[in-house]
Amino acid sequence: MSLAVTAFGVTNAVHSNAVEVATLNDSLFRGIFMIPEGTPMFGDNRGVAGNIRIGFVRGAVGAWGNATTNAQQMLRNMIAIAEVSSSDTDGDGMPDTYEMVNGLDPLDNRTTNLVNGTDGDLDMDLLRNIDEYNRGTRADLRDTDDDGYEDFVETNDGSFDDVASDTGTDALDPDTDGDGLRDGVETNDGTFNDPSTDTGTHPLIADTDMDNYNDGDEVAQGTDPLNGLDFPSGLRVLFVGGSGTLNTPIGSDAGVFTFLEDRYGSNVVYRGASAVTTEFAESFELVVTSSTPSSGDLRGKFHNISVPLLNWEEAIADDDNGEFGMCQTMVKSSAVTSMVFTNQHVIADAFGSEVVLFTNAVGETTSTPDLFLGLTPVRIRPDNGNSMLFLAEVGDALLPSANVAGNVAPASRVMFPMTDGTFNNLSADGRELFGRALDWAAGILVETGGSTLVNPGYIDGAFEMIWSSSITNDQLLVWSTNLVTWFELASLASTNATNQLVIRDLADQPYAAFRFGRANATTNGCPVEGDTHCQGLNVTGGPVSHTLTASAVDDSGDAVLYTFIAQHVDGTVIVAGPALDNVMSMDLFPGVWTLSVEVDDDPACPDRASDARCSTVLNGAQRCSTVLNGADGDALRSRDWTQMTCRAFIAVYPSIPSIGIGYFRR
Amino acid sequence: MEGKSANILVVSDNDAGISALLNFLQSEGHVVTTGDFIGGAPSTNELATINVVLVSRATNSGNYDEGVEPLAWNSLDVPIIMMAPHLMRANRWGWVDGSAIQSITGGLMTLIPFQSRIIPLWLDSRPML
Repeated sequence: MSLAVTAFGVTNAVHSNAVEVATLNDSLFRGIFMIPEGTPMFGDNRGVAGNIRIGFVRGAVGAWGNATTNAQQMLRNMIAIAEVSSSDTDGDGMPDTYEMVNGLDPLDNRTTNLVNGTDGDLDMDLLRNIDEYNRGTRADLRDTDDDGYEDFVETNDGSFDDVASDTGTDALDPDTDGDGLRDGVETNDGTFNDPSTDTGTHPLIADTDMDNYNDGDEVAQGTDPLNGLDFPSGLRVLFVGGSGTLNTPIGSDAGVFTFLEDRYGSNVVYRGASAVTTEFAESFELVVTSSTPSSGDLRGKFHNISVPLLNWEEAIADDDNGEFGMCQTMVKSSAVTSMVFTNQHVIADAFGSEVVLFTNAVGETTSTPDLFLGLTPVRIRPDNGNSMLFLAEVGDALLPSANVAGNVAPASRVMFPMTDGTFNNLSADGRELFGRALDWAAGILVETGGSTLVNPGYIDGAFEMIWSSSITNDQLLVWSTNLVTWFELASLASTNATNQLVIRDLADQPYAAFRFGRANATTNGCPVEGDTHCQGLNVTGGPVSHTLTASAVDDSGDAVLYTFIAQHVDGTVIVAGPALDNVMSMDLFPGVWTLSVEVDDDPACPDRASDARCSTVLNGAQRCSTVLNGADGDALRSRDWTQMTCRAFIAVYPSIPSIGIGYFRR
Repeated sequence: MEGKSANILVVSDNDAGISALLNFLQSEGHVVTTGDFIGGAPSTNELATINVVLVSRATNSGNYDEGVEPLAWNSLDVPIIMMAPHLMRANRWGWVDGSAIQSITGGLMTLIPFQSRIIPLWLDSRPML
């Protein structure tokens, strides 16, 4: 049977718990489907279907007048079905609508066919039809939520007992713990085998290894979700796009996500806007909001966060309640390809007076009329005077009707002139401008007149840098590869001064990447004062091999990470950690050492308790004053050199006429 | 299949766009009321006598998604027939998994029903409820 209709369809897959009724023969159109009562809708805060839902799309607005008789009859049928949605005509305990959308006959209580009755098991998944109805699962699907675990094992009791019989997960939620991984790949066997089929993680625990990174984020970013010491590194960025709850950006959002990872490292997290809460966003160092989500999923979530943010959804840039309050009206304008800079700003410093923004003419966003109060426009369109790229710094006044706390910006804000899909049309310069705007928001790119890095590089085997800082802002290193811990960086903050940092002998790491920023940029999302306290540092052993044992307590009960630091009077520094182990072995050459341990619960945050460090001074064995001139080489070969503080010798080997000369330094 | 006369609430923010649909429903013998309900779903009192809610094609999806509406509408305990594809999207009410909409124009298309499903079956010989 086929029907002739005019149609306007959705091209997306309907919910896995829904029933497709009809499709067009072009394989794109899903025109009619039914969703049973109790079905969770896509995305957070969408709830579940309170009754039967029927999707029936055809024609454009006002086009019902040309509906075919078949289309009319189908609508007639749908209304009839909806009317009887609470009926149970055959009296088998399952409403007619449940039977209709689950492949059962609402007129047969097993009289005609046993499979239609209460005790039938249409999908043969070991759950009776009536049990499936009571649990809200599909009677005709073995795996209702399509997560890899069949309905039978998903007992939803919150306890994982056995992968084959009782996973404790929710049969109606493909990701019970909300960590971005489908339940079925979280096998809970403790072994990571494959990112898409067997992660070995726990399906009821979002962060199996308790390192503060969700399992799904770790899998997406290539770190081990079963190893608490292996987690993503780099600036912690949250990218908010328009797709569903799983950690998979789509369309132009995918390009932005790749860009962010290329620029800031693996610590970039993607979420669909409907799944993001204000509290979640506050745990990052930079938030980026796309225009692909519904503005309703963005509005009211981010206007008060103390995290720097770059946004290009025009509907939340202006002055309604819960928006950013940076202008009176933000609109999508006609397409242009270039932007003219009208004032000097560090974001624009890499370009001339004009930058070709797009590779072809595409839509952009502007504010009109001009910006509110003293906000900074980086570019003003020459044709109508509207602002395109504009900024708010911490404390800048905002329009009161947005209801931002105190009516001032709680952190850096950037409105960037893109619309849906525009990112893919950015030129190379356009992408660089986008990146520099992100850097500025995050505090990585300092204002003109801010810190200047004078001479980074290796000098006599040590990495050394000198910089001068801003008059008005504390400046510090906010990001690096292979540097010391965040609180080491925070301790370097200064105002209006010249600073110098010398790092020596840190395991030959390449200090290739450093960025400066405002001091307050690094504290966003982190406590002001840490709650991890050092209680003691004990040193045993020697003269070469020493054992350092630390004790600490965390007020919140978080796991404590220990960083051991040994600094010799000659400037040599040895750093080990951070690690969960409170015992560390170090081989120390003679001389006076300051031995310290730094304790913390989150090395990504610069917060630090005043008593987070314990130190002690070790006056180690002195250097050898003599060497073993003319020693018996054969005898030397039998000595235990590992505990010798002297390493220089000249040896004569009686057994083989020769002289050996050696030097060891530990 | 012929159902009994129903009380149908047609949701629209564009009265001109639903005139043909209203004419059809009324010609079927249904009692039809209309409303735009911008900013919130119907109240319990407003739904007291309603058998079916029909969200018409004549709706601007942005008017029904300012943050709280998706949960309110989805949670209604009355049946809903949705004729507005933009509202079905994942970034609106979350009935489908995605945000793309395919506009199909150019006249008649062939619709292929799944034979086991009840709506098209009832087009022919299915016994009436």
